[in-house]
Amino acid sequence: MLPASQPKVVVIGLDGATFDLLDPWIEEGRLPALRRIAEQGGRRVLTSTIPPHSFPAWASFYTGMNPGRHGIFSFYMREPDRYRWRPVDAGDRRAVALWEILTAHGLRGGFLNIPLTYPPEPLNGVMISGWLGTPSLSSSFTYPPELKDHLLRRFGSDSILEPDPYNQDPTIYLRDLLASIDTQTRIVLELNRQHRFDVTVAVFGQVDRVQHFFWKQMDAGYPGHDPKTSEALKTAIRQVYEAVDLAIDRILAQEPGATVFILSDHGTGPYERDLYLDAWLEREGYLVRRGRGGTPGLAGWSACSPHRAVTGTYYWLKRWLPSGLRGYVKARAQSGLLARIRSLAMSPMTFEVDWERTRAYSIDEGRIYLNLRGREPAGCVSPGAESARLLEEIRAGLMQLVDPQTGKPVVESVYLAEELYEGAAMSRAPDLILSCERLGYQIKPSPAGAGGELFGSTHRWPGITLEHSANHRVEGVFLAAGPSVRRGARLPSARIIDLAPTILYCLGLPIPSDMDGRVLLDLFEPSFTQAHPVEMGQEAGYRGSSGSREMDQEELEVVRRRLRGIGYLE
Amino acid sequence: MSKHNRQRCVVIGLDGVPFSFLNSLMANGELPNLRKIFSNGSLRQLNSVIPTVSSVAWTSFMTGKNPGKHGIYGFVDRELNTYNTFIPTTRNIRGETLWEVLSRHGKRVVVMNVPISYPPRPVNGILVGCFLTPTLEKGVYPPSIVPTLQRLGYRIDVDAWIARKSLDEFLKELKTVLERRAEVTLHFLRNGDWDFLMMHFMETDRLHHFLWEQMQAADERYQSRCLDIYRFIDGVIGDLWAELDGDTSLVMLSDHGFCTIRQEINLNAWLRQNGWLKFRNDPPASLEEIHPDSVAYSVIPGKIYLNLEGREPQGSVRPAEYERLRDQLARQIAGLRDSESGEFAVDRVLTREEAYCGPAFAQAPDLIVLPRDGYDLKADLKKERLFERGIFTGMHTFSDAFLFFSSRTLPDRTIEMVEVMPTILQEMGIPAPDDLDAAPLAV
Repeated sequence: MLPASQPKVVVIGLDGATFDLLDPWIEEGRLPALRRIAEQGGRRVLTSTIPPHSFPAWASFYTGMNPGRHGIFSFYMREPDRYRWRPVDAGDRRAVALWEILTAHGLRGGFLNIPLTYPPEPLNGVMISGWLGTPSLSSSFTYPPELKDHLLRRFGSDSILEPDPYNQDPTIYLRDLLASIDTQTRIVLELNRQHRFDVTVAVFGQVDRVQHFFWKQMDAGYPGHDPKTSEALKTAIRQVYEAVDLAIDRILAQEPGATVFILSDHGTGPYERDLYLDAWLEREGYLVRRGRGGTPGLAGWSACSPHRAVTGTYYWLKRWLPSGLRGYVKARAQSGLLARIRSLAMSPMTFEVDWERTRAYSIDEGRIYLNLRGREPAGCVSPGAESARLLEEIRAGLMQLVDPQTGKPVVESVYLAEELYEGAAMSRAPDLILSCERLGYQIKPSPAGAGGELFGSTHRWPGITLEHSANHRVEGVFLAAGPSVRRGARLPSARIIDLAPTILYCLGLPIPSDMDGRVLLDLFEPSFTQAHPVEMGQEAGYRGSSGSREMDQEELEVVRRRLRGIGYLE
Repeated sequence: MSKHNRQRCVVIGLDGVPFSFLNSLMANGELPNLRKIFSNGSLRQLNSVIPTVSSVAWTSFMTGKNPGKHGIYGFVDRELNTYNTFIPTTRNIRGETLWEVLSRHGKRVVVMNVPISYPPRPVNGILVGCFLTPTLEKGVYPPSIVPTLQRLGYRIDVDAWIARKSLDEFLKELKTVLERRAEVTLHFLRNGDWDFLMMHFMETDRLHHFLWEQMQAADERYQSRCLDIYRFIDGVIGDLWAELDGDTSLVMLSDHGFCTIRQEINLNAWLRQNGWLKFRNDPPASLEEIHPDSVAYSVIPGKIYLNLEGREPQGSVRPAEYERLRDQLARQIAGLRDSESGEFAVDRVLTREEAYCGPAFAQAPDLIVLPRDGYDLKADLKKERLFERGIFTGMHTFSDAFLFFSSRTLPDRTIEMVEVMPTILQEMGIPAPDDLDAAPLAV
């Protein structure tokens, strides 16, 4: 347990928050709580993972490891031995998480609304799975499991999870976002009151969502910005920042002596153009398709269609149903972002690929995989010299790619996996990773009817009516304040993997020796760091085996041999 | 029973120890400690589960549910909508285990070696994975106790392949693994902070698979060392019992009984010989080479699946014919006779509806064959012989497990496996989840 003099730690995540917006609004006096923290403590840019996507980034936050070690590289994972992808869940990680370390040391934590914490896990404390990663309201998304019913009874079903952005009127969506910030704040306050947490982590995903969907409305300089947009929608992003600032104020009022960290998992900025990477791979002959418009051949893929049908029906029903029934229909029909991701993964793209002749493919944004012999089931590229040559060729081709509309390069960098990641989970890594956000491009699967075009400007994700105009950036935010934190320090950038070790340090716990992040000692008063040297501990360790459903080959062999030994298996 | 602040419970699992065998050992003057302990509580016969294998039985123990609810149907199972087989792990167990329920209520648990507990799900305390754990490092929660286990020389499981080389060496190894496991049990019992502590001893099951017949025949090459295993266990339980205070109850149980093998029966060979199953290649490399005309196939032990259209990838049995064909198959299998003795080899054939119910029902086999004592069901694809005898001399039985509670009088009847968990929860004053299959055993 903490010595009495040790403050507790409160961590508030503002998914996607950026200093580009935070700084001017703090200056204008619109964000008093954040201003106080910035003045009383330290601020620095926090670099996300590459690519700066929420699942790998938050996993890096709560494990203190890079994706090569925690094993979450993307929203999807390819299932072993087949060309089928499924969304990752929290159980897919291969590194120990912060709450497990705390639990092992007898400390209590509240881990609330963090992306990629579904399914929730037993721990010493409370967990509410973040909306991003939770299939729907009907999932069991709390630990303890009974907490969910209590939340539903106490706070109603409408706003304890973020609203789904499908087929929503923007004004209604904004209203629902703000309502969910308020409800989630009240939940945090109640749980903090009831439990003596040593650490509270609460994430507000609404910041990321509002930026995606309302950037164009805010930014007068954005091409296609409509000056006749309502004031409400123009200021949508600012309203959400103000709402989370109020949330921070209320939460910290409960914990006067706490050390507080505010962070975002990545930054955000405007983007304008889509790059259809799979179309480029096809044009260059790396990806071969069987022919467009084929019907899905595999049984079981049709599971994705009911989700579309149901959500569409929900939208229609919502308009025409008496209001008393709407809540019921919503609870039943809400399919969540995960279902959407699932249906994306099973898009026509994956059905039509001629795997025997494809040398490289891309399923998830900005990541390219070789169809590697010995790894992919019908792999045709040999590892070693052939794959190295192919990767170089693809990399060079992408770096030369120019958008005919602008005449300028599209790709800022192309990385090999080992340039970005390292660790025991590297077998899951993509082979090449593209960076093009800063140049204003987002990578999307080519929409039906794109006719082989490499570029577009749809500003739409499949199934979502709301247009989006902002994309992620690697530079996120980090602010810290507290009794032992240095005042007013503007510090060099830190990495998102540095948060977990720093939190452990604040709690007086040893730092696992295999964490990739380091304790941010420069945050603290020298008198504090001198009195509390960093203690290195044992390895946090490798958690379970790969995949949430199957053992990896090696483990399977060990276990098969044992079973055969006693005649349970032939 | 007095009400104290801390109602603690110790559970010892002795895998595959038959009720009848325990009684006959005690009647012969063996197991003095167990005899004394059993006289202070309630010892009863316990039914196992269907199919009668440890992974299913202990999972039913730890969830209080039938496989239709917890989703574990064997050491090996068939993945729905495919012909792939896989080895179920904790990832496939639906719902909460006893230790997760206890953890939720703030009770501290120490749980060791109970099948299935790999990969380890976090608990409020310590969990050491079962024999499906590839390495200790991957199979323990929290990882920080691995050094302690290594220091105590803990072994996940005996290497059963040694028995094929030499039964003497196997017995020696078995004893070593057992000793280490016992030491770890006593270590955590004495040094841990716990409300619930459970250790599962797999060694008796391993012993019986290779040496059951020899033990029944009092084969003098092995008898004293086999008895030595039992005597050692008796000593350990005696030591353990001496450490328990008045607030702690002791529960002991096994997951099935044992009997001598007369024949191993290859159900896939039977299906092929009787026209229910064929393959595109001979010998088939895997189930995936099944010929679409096949009506049914089997997965060990005794699970039969119809090659159903719309469910199996190469399914040809039309839904309209499902029941008729299934009935026909069940009746035919029920008539299976031992070619040597002419006796019936099958006790009953149950349909999935008769055996299971719950959210995992879709995963269930269409038929499940319950053999008569002595007939061990297999499902080898490469072997063509229907009947065989191998190195194993013992097989599992359904109705001869045992259950002991030190702190309450159990009803005077055979107990069902799913009744144990709610009873333990009641002992510890914890409300049972409302989706269990049974109520607590009345005091």
